Amino acid sequence: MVSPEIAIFAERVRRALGHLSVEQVADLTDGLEANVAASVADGTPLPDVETYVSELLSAAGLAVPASVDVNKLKIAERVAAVKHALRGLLPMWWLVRAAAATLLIGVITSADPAWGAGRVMVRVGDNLLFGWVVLIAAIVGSVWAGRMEKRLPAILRVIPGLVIVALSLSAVGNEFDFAAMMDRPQRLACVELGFDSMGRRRFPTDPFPEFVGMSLYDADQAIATWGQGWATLSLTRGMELAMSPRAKIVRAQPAYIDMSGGCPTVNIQVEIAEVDDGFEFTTTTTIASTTTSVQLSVVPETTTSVVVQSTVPGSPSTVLPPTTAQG
Amino acid sequence: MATPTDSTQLLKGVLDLAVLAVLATEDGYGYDVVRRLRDGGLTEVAEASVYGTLRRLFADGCLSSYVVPSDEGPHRKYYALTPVGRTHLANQAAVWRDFSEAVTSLIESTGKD
Repeated sequence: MVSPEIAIFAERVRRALGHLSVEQVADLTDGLEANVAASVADGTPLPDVETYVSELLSAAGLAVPASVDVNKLKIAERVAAVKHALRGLLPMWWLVRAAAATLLIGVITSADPAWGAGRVMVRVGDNLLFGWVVLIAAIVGSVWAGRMEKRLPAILRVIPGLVIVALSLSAVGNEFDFAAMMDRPQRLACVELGFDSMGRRRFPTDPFPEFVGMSLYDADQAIATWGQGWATLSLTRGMELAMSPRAKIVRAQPAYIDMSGGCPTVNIQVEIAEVDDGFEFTTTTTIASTTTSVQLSVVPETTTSVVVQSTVPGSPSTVLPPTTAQG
Repeated sequence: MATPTDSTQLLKGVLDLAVLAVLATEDGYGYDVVRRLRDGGLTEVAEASVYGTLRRLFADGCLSSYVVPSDEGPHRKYYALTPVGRTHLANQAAVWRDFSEAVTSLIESTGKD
């Protein structure tokens, strides 16, 4: 890295040679910075640009122009100062791009819902150490590549920047997808099926997904259809409830597994509630899943019992008989 | 003692020869040639003149060049004498010897008078 003074001097020399072809200028100024830097290091003051250029040209057997455009030189000086400042920031950019790329890949590939190290580090399983190793390797690699990039054409040097932009866009898109997914019960209610030592299929019930506080959306952002039982209350009210994003699960019974049907079924009783017009409607429903899905499906296959409670004083609670959902 | 202007004028005529002589000993990059010329007694040599001379001798086929990456900064372009350069150096050196002998004897004869 040459000093700003030498960078500016070199830029002014190149501008002063502006009447020559690009190839001639490149040939005459090849190694200019290195030579001047070595000379300055030996204690020689920086030469006058015009004298330098005329000596260079006459010794090289080329015509020396009558005068050098002073304005051109001033512009050259500013351009050189900016170029030099940007060049000084390059090592910083090498670090930033490595960290950004690694962390963005971590964000894109992570399934961890909470922000934190677990969310942004590249991982194998739960091992964060791997993420640190990848991050450090990326930084070392980036600095190494940065030092090599000087020799590449400018068009190739923009590639790392484009990659970062693409990763950022991908990560942002991913965040929207992720946020949307978080609202879906299916996503949270993912239950891995396993086998016990006897080869029988089993459900891991502990820990079981936490349903309380979840909204009842399916993949299409509509309230999950397993609220079919509402139809027996009032189609209109049921529809309003179903469309409302304020419907939440307020209570969930521990899941139990029914093996009687030949294939195991997970049953979970939940209460969903929504406050509307001063009334709180509470519905208790049972959802189930068959073994054929590795995810706890929200397909309403079993009997649904529905309880409606009014919070208005004096209003009686209505208990409706079980109905079969028409999923 | 010659003033800078005096020696600069003289240098112009012999810079080709001096640069070729320096590079005949060992390959060198731009400022390295300048330094060796100065160490050799040509303290007033202008750097840019040397760089221009190197370009011209290269264009004339007297020199070849190769790039050596530098750890400290930009790469360095080294110059080496070609067979054409060696022949040119030998011819120029002979011319210089005759010339300087003639000039020296003229000066000395002036001194005796």
